[in-house]
Amino acid sequence: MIQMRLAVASLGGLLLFLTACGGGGGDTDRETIEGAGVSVEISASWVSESTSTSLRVAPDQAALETESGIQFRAELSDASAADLEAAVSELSSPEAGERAASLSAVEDASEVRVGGKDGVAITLEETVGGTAVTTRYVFVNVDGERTYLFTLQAPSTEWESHESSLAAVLESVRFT
Amino acid sequence: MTSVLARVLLVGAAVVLAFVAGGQHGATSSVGAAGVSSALGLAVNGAPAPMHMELVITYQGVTFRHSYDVTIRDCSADPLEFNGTGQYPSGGAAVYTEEVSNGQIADDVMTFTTTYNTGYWATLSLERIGPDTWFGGGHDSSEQAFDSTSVTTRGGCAVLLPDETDEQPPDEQPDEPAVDQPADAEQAEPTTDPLSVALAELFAGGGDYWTRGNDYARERTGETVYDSSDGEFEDNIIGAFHESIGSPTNKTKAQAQAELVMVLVARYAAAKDSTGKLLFPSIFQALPVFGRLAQKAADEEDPRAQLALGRFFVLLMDLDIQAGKGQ
Repeated sequence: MIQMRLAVASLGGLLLFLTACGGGGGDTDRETIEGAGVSVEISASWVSESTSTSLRVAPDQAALETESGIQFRAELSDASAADLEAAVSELSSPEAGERAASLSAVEDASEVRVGGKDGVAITLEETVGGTAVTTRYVFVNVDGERTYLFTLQAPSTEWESHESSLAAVLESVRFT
Repeated sequence: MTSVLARVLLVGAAVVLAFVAGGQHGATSSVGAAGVSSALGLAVNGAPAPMHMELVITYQGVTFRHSYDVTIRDCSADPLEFNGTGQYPSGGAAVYTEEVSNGQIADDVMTFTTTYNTGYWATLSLERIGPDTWFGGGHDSSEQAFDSTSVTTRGGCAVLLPDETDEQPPDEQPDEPAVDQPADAEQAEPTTDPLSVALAELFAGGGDYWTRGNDYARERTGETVYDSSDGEFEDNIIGAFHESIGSPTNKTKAQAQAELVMVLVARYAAAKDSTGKLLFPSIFQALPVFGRLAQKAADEEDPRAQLALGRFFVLLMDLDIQAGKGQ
């Protein structure tokens, strides 16, 4: 009987501790943000930036502003002439050459699900601005017209430690 | 001496360009099913077989398209022989007409001569690299060498699988061109060449990409992927890729194969329906990634990038087809 009371008291104490620490309320640390026709859940401490066709989130402002920083990006393609011009110029740009020369396939292309839609992912390592960056490109064709490129990236030395948090953002994607 | 050599080279280049512009560029050709059957040593029926060929030549970053309609005289012959007619450009009114002669296919190599109505001629030699794709070069009547030419085919001789060869009547033709059958690449003879294996992966990957792509394009447009594609759009992409690998005049095998994949990628990326909507928008959006992957795949020492390139292309194609059907 005494043991039972002790057990109940211990459980109550544990619950109080968890509540005080926010241990049972992980959702309170996260927020939903929207942009470019998608919503994602991110840690409240992360930062974001959006336009009508893109949404970028990162752990901090420095990463958001660094080309090779830890980032999650959602980009909506409107398949316009401007997109084509950008693709053509990127194909033959010196930067693309640098990235291609350093490229290695980290993971082969595979099928994935994002926000209830089918997608295709491929993970590559490339040198971006002198830094080796691991990038997972995820393409999702929502309805035959809207197509998204989700990009999860981190410096290769930090990929392992940030892959799960970036993947969590991808898992939270909802098409609005 | 240098000056003379430079002049000779310039004159040579001018002749080549004139030939290209005049549609007399080395017209590579292909033999889809016929080449496959030859490679596999499979029986084929003995009827004459019509075959359509679409040629894309990239010369100094500029692409040129020719089309040919030829007839393989006897599908049971070895080597296979064919002749026919063609034109430049491949679509619309002909600027130049062409006659194909001395066409021959043996051991996965196709050769033929195309003569233009201006008298100019070119002889081409192509190696089969996929069930309906060939790659090679050749030379013209002014001894200019060509490279970076690719051909896709429709039709040709029927290919029978080994266990079917004794059962199918010799004159029976399949409804669909045998060139569309996925077994072709998957049953190709084993090779130790990793780059060829990588390319075979593309053409075999996930089944028959060509049939799936064309079936989907026909549902949406009534035309094949090739016929639905925007030539200028394709040219921009292929030209940019050619430039990205340094515009080599003599490509290595890896460079040539990577460029061929980019020709296919560009063709799919540029395919549109009658309202101007892209048929394969994910492939379009992935162009920069394709470009970098293909640049890496052009490296002889990186067959893994080439494998990744092939799989990525096939998966994205299927993604777009499935999404498009749900519209």
